Amino acid sequence: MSTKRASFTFAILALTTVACAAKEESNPPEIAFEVQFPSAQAAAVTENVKVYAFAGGSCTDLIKLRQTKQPLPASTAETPLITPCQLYEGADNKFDLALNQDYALLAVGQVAGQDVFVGCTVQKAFGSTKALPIALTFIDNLQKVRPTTCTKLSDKCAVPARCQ
Amino acid sequence: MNTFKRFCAVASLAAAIAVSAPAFAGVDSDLATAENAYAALDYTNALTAAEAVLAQRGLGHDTLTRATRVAALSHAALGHGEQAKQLFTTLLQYDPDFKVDAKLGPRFAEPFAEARGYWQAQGRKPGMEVQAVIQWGQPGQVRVTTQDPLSIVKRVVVGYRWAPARDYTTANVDPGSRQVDVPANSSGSARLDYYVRALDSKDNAVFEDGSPESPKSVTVNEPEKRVTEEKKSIFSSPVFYIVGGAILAGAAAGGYFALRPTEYTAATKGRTVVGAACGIERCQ
Repeated sequence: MSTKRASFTFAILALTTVACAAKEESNPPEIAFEVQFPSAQAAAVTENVKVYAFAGGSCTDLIKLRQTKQPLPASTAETPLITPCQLYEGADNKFDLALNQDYALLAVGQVAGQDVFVGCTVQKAFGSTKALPIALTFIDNLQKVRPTTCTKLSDKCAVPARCQ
Repeated sequence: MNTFKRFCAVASLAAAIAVSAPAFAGVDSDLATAENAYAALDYTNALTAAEAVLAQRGLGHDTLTRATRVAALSHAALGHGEQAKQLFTTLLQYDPDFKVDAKLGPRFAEPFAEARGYWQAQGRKPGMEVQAVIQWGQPGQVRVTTQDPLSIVKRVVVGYRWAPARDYTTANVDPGSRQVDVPANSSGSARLDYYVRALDSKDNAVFEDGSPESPKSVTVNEPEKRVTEEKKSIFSSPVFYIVGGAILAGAAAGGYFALRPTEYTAATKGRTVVGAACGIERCQ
């Protein structure tokens, strides 16, 4: 009789423990991108980059809006202005995206406050996959980059910089 | 007028002292005369002096015993066999342990033997037992039992006082088994002085246990005060159980939250990581 009572009590405790178990969301999976400059020289002369995420957006439309200097729709998330060196070093380049949608990721490279490079890609792969490149190209045929002695981005990012 | 009254009072006191002092001095003097005369084999004068002492009233037990002893021995020495026997009998009442020296000869031995035979025939030994039953802070008793086959004792006087009081409280009881109640001591006194005297018709002390001048004493000890507050065990303190209960509850709750199983749900967000590539390779 006492064994049955003890078993019953134990079962109640176990069920209560399980029922009251802490519920916690799993760690978010990584969504890897790469802002792909045309060359190391292009990365060296670019002053800053900004990445926007638009849920269900169209890369064509987004680039068109940027090329025509029209305002972008409200982004789902975006990075602050970050330098290529910060991108290289992996700083200030993280933001969260809900996993239940597809995103268009627009990257814009600027020099002296003017858009010089632009690129876009649609995010569909999640998890530990190869970083999806956002290939930058000149936003139009009018853009040129100044000459630089830098052949490596690391030389530009060195302190002091080893190239101009 | 007042001066005259004061004079009369002083004169009366002086007269009383003058009369009583020679009386006490006379007893002692007569007893000394008797004993000295007996020692000097002057039995007639010894007897006279001893009888003079015994004629007095209010003799102490020691004086009464010594005077009776001299009188008895003197009568025996003088060949007064019957008187000697009577006095030996009385003396054995006062002093049951008295014995006549066998070297004194038959004049002494024969009446003494008859007196002792009398007491042996009585089957009981004369005397007085006194017991003081006293406890701290409680009324007590002085219990007295007299054994008096000759019925000499007429009354028993019990005197007591709680020191440091000087005056005795006295009580008179009849011979036999009696008790006198004694009030409880006050907090400042722990010693009871008492005396008991069994008196004959002339107020002589037939038996005596203590005297007003040299009383018996009983000391009562104050019981040690019990520690009213027993050393409190921590287990008897409600604070212990309250604090202990709180600690246990906290530990249980903390342990539960720390050890309870974690049920992970599917992630609803992904975290972007943006790197830099220079051409088709990561930037160098």
